[in-house]
Amino acid sequence: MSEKTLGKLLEKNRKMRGISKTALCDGLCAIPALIRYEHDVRVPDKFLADALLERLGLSPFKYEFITSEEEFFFSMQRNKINNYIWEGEYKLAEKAIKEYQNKIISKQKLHVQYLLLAEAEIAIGKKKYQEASNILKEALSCTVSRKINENTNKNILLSDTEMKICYELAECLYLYGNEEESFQVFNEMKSYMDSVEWDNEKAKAYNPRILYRLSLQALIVHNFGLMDIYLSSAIELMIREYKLEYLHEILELYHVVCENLEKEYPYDNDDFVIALKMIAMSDKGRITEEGMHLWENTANQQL
Amino acid sequence: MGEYSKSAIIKFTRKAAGMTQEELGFGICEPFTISRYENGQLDPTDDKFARLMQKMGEKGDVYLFPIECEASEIEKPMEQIMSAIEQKNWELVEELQKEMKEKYKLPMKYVENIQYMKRIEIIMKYHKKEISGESAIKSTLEALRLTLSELEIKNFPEKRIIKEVEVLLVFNLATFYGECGDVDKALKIYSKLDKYFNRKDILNNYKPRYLIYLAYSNFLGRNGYYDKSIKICTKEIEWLLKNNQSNYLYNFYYNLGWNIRTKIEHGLEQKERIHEAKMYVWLAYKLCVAYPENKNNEKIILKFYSEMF
Repeated sequence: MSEKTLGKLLEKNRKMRGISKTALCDGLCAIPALIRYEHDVRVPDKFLADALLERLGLSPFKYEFITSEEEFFFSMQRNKINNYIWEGEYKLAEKAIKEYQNKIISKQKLHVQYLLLAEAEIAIGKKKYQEASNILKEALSCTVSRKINENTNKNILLSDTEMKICYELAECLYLYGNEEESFQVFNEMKSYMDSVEWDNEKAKAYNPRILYRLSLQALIVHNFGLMDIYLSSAIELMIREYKLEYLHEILELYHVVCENLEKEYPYDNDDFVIALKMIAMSDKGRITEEGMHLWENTANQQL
Repeated sequence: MGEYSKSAIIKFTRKAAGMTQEELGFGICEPFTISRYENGQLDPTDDKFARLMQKMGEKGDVYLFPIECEASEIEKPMEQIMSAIEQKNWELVEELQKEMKEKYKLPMKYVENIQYMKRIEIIMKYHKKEISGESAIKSTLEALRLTLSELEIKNFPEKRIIKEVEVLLVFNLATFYGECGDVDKALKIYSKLDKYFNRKDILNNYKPRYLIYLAYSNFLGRNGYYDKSIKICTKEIEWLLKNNQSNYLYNFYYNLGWNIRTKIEHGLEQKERIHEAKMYVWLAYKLCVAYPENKNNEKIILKFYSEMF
């Protein structure tokens, strides 16, 4: 089946997932606008189109778009900003953000939201977690007006940006010590992911991390059964999708759980955990002195 | 796949259609207007845009809805073909190629798809030894010329928008030159690809990146550029860890160990560093075993490790 236009693509996927128009466009655009988009009477700008597609679990990167020169500038500028932040070049990122800001009209929500997220990421890079949390809350409120688990879960959908904001918010809260609120957000995210099980991209990117944090919450009350469920699910997903971040912490935690439940720990290859630890300690791609000592002192060097 | 401004589409289609700005503009607008459209200085109206596209032979109505989507089911076989090529499973590649044409009816009106199919064909024929390396190079350049001018090929990657298939074709050029023994040419092309991946305005999140860097580091190591190879490996490892993608991590760790050890063998490095080399190969083995995409690699790494003792 070939969906020849954006409208048909949106409509087909929305109906396939049993999603209402309200849920899809809530916070992004008005329902009459969405109807016009679905009927190809009008075309949304790229940024809005991206958000709508992402809420439906689709990856905009996989489609070809023809945009105006201005939209193109914004897209490329976002890439630039993201790359600068990613490389820790905050001064350059801030400069690019200013260039971006000068070109937008302040009412454009998605742009404002994006810029707030970029600001927050710079704060995170500088370890200013509390400041970042506040900026992230503001960013989220641009397009998400209700709490994620209010009413039924079916009513909320999140774009990649909105999801990222939630995740970073939950992490920041955790990192500056506000565990209670952090776990609240993580639990909301878990409910959300459970309600959109067809969204594989978000699942790959976020489920392991959400499950890890929630298992830390379960640890507080020694709920090893729940930890077992969360952690084994996270491990399976991470190994399948080649994700290493937090894997050694997760495996070690899982080992503790198995001991407490008198269950067999299936990854009885402590060497793998040592390997992961060494990698987690690396600096600019090289294993550090510390990592090397860890290897020399604890690893089984016979293969 | 990506996004293109109207300016890029006009320029791209005009070149593919082999028209000059004068020819295109005739009856619609002045040639200098075409030039301004193509530079992004002036945004054409939907009507002008449709007329220009129609003139260039594309059906105008396709572009009245500025966003054209292809069937999304095609994505899966495309990924499968990439995997099959990596694993050198030529039968599977051939099968999937057929499927692409017949079942999914890959629309050949898009130059990108022509390039895509041509690339697979060249790889297949070369590996089945039906064509020589020189012939493969020639055909790859022909495929590139469908969308790039000679100057753009020479100055790659300075063109404003570069597509994945163009990057892959350039990568194939490097590998073919390498296999023909033209090391300098191959290295020049690899360093252009490196330049492309360092551009600030591109999205870095697709697969070809680490495939290309792996091939680059392999090529450097095999031709004696051990330090450069080590540099590439550490850079890529850093990138993969930051991006939380560890599919090919073990390959880079292995290469690190291999390079250090080979340097020691050639007297270019202190003998004490053998510990570091062993550590990297050990790491590579542990990762490879946990994510066993290619069982052969496990054996290769094990063999190399035992030789180091």
